[in-house]
Amino acid sequence: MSTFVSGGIKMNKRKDRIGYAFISPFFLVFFLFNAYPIFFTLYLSFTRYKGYGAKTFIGAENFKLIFKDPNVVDAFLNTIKIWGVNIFFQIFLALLLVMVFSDIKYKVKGLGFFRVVFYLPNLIAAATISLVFAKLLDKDYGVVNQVLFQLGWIGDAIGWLTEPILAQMSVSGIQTWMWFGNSFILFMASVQAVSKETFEAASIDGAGRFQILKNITIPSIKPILMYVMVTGLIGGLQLFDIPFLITDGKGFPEGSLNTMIVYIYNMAFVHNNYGYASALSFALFIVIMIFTVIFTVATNRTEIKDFIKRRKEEKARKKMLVEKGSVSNG
Amino acid sequence: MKKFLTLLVLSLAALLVFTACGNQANEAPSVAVDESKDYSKEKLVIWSFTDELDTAGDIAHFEALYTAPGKPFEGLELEFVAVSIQDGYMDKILPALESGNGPDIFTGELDHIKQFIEAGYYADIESMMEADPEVDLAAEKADYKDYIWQSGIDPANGKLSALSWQVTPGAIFFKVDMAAAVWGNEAGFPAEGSDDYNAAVTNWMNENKFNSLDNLLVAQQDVKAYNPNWRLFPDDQSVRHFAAGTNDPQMWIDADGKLNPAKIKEQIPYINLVKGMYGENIDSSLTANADEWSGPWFDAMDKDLTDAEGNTWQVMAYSMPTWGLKYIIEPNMEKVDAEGNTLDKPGETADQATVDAYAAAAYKGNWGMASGPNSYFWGGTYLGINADSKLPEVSFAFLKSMLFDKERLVARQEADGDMYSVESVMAPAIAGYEGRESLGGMNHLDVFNKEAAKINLTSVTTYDRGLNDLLGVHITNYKQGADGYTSVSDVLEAFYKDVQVTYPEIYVEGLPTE
Amino acid sequence: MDKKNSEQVLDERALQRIKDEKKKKRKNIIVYTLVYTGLAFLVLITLVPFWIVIINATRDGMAIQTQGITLIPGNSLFANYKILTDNVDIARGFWNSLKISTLVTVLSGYFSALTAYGFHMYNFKGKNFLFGLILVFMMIPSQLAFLGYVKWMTQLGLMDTHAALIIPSVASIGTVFFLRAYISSSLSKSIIESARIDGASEIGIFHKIALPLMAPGVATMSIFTFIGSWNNYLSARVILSSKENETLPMVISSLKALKIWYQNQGAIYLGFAISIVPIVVVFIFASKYLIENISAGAVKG
Repeated sequence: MSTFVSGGIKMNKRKDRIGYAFISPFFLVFFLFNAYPIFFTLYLSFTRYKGYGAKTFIGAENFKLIFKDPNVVDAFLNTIKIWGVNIFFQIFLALLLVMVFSDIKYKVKGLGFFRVVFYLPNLIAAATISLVFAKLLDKDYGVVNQVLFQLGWIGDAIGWLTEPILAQMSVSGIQTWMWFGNSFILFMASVQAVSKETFEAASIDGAGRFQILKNITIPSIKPILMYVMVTGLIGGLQLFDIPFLITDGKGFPEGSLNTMIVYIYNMAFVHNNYGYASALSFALFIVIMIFTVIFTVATNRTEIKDFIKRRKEEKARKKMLVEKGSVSNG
Repeated sequence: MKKFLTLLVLSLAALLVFTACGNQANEAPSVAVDESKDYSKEKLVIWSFTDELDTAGDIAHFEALYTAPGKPFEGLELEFVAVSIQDGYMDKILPALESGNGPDIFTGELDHIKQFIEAGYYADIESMMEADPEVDLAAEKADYKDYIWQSGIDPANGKLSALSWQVTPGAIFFKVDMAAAVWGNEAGFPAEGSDDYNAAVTNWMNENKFNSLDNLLVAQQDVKAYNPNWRLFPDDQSVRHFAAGTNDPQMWIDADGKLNPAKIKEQIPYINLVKGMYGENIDSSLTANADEWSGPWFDAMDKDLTDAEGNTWQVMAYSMPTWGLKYIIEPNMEKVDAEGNTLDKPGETADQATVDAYAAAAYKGNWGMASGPNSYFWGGTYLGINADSKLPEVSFAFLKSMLFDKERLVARQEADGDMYSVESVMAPAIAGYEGRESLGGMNHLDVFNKEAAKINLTSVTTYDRGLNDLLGVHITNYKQGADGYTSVSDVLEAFYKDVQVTYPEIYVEGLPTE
Repeated sequence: MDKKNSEQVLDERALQRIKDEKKKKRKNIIVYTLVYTGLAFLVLITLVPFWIVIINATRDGMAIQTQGITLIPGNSLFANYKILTDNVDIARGFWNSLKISTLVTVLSGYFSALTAYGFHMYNFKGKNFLFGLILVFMMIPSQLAFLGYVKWMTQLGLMDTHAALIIPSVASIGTVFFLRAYISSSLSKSIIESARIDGASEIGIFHKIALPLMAPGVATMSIFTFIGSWNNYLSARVILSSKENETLPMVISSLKALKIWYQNQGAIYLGFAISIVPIVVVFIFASKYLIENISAGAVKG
């Protein structure tokens, strides 16, 4: 690779070792502050620990408890429900916008402006948003209900945050509001990477709008779509700020806003059961990993099939060559 | 690379070893002024869950006595940190204490300090008192109310570790005029305008209406029947203090360290009471559905509540601890002039005369202060010293200035009108008390002093807050009629499931479900 | 005869074309109107919360409670500010957040670039293994490390320090990953080689050549890092305790427990506004640059 000759290889090896110097600050902090805590959490999950005092080793007791704990299933379902509704509307809205702005026949203007505006909600701290909406959605004094009253659309105040299902929908809605702009920008960028001619050619060939959507737009967005869904899933499963701050921090109403992290937080910092909370964290992590893997496999089925096929072919070919003795190993 | 890794592993190991060797064993810290220290370079750190130590002038008092020029700890810097319980006082102070970087002095409510004591974070104050020639241990022990003293003792060594100057028994404050309207015609109700009217009405209420959970329910129904827009309590949280229903409540944890079935049985009438009180909107509820600390909750103290449809509501009673009168109710009451017209609160720019006139004016409301079915305590502040403190002598000096300076405590009590746990402070206060004006001249200190004697603090455990929390969630679900909660059994079973995972060490099978 | 007929036919066709165009225009107008109306509605929904917050920040609490919403700003801005600052130290929260976020962004940007460069330029033993390690950890959600991290900070005595929130940013996994992809497509090794021939030191090369070339990528990630750090609540809440160390999200969330939450809503909304407006303003100015770069990153990544 290099054009050096004199002292060539040795010089490069020494130069290469400097690479260690470059990455060492990162890895030092990484091991100390990223990796070690993870192992520490794992360790704690096998103990009984009140946050102070002794850590008693109790083996897999905490993990056994997870299976007996009805709250875990509830928390998980809550998290999935809230995430599911959010991701659906978020992507739907973003795709709709993409369709509008990438249409061949109708040139909609103002993409730059709209992108900025729709992204704005993403800038605000979830903590602040939670409190703002806690005020806006208040049953008796919130602006939303007041407006609905004045418009005559409702007779009784709606308990946006006091009815379990409404509370979950509200949180989903807030999440959608926060993230649809982000998704839109990412999708739009992928679509813009596809050349205009492709779209025009398809349109001239008589492809209808939905056909274009299905065969050109969506495949071009696919990698980004995957990215948005996976990060949305991971972020969604870790949802904390909004459900924690928008009501009482314990999942009110009726535990509907008890997401996994809210449950873990309360278990560790309110009830001081660090051991169980750590075990729960670990269980959550495993669930996330499983989802990610399933997701990636499901959406890349064809690629994976091809990959496996190719590996098989290569192995067979190598075997054949070795038998023929015409290629030396290594 | 190998060298680097080895170095990393070694330093990690070293770190772990050093941090694992935690606190040293506890000996009673010295209280004498340390000549070798330069106090002007030291800093005393105090943590509390309220800013009372600051606003009541306790810190200023300490500084005047000890850190001002010419005093023993001249030039000492004082750092005061107030973290409210809502902001996470406990989960911030516990890590600090565990790592050895905790404050020198820290406070807590009763269940907090039990945690501190159990973990060994508090120093042995009793030995420090013995060691200090200025403090008479036996005299102080006699002066402080016994149950306060006992509650701060470390079971491991039988010595005092924390002490509180407050008693804070709880009461039900109620509007006398409304009570007279509802029950004025019942047997034995004092005649209006009679001597000590408020006190008499209070007594009558205590004996007839507030003496049991059942009577509380009946009283609420009485009020609603008398006037559909009147309510006894603002919300159902008001009765949670009476969950025990008796002055000798069961402990949450029995002698075996497990969840106590007797305590569960004791809670059942309370659960039924809450369910009976609840209504989704004000019309169907026995309370005004105004959550504690909410805007309407404050407003209803001296105004009518107006709802979205324009109806007005009135609330008769609030259950609150002693300090609630001064800090919550009175600031929310309007004042009237001699003719009974409402006086406006003086603005920022008002002159001193207006301010004084306002302060001297009479309160609009006319309250009585009754006790409920049982005495309860709610939020007394205990003081203690960090066992690892590097400034034990300074910390102890602060404790002395707060707890054993009786002259100052008398002045402090006069200012806040609260109940103190010190006999020598309360006795003259009660005797010389002219009665609280907002209570129609009733001597509330006397009443409370008797109440305070009934409190049993030995039943508090470190699990109380958490268990009440867990149970509360299910009671709320039950009262709101959530799916799966059709009876008390459902509440209890859900509660047990929670206990099993959250506090597995106290869980047992076979707990009562009805 | 023929001429007249062909003229007629031509006229007819022209007429038809004009009719078609008019129809198309009408259809166009309908479609465009629909689309722009829909977009306007969406913009309205997106911006309404902002609008309410800003307007209410200038109104008196009583007015908000009794008069509902309005489009007209009030004149209680200064009064609200006084009430707000009497209750919470919002200025300090603001400065703390600014300090932490800036340090985090700078450290993260610099060290991520350093690390990405190291992986790209040099071929040392274990390089793939270490990079693979980063990839694996990138997928681990931060919540898993969280409890252990808190206890670890306790043992190190770093609780209630800003350092506990700043130091970890040196190891910003996502940024390293992004920058490595960025470098591999934008940095050519030949430039580096010629600099080496000229006798420059490795770290000098990094500072003088590589870093400037990576600047757009670093800048893009930096904006996200800054926003993420500015908005972080959970870690700050758990690690920081004293009022002086509080970050802005912590100050805002403490508003909920105060009496003024109900009684002086104007001040509360002003608190919200203070935590929202600066970021929005900065963003609007930087938006063009930022969105171009996100788009570029999306295509590359």
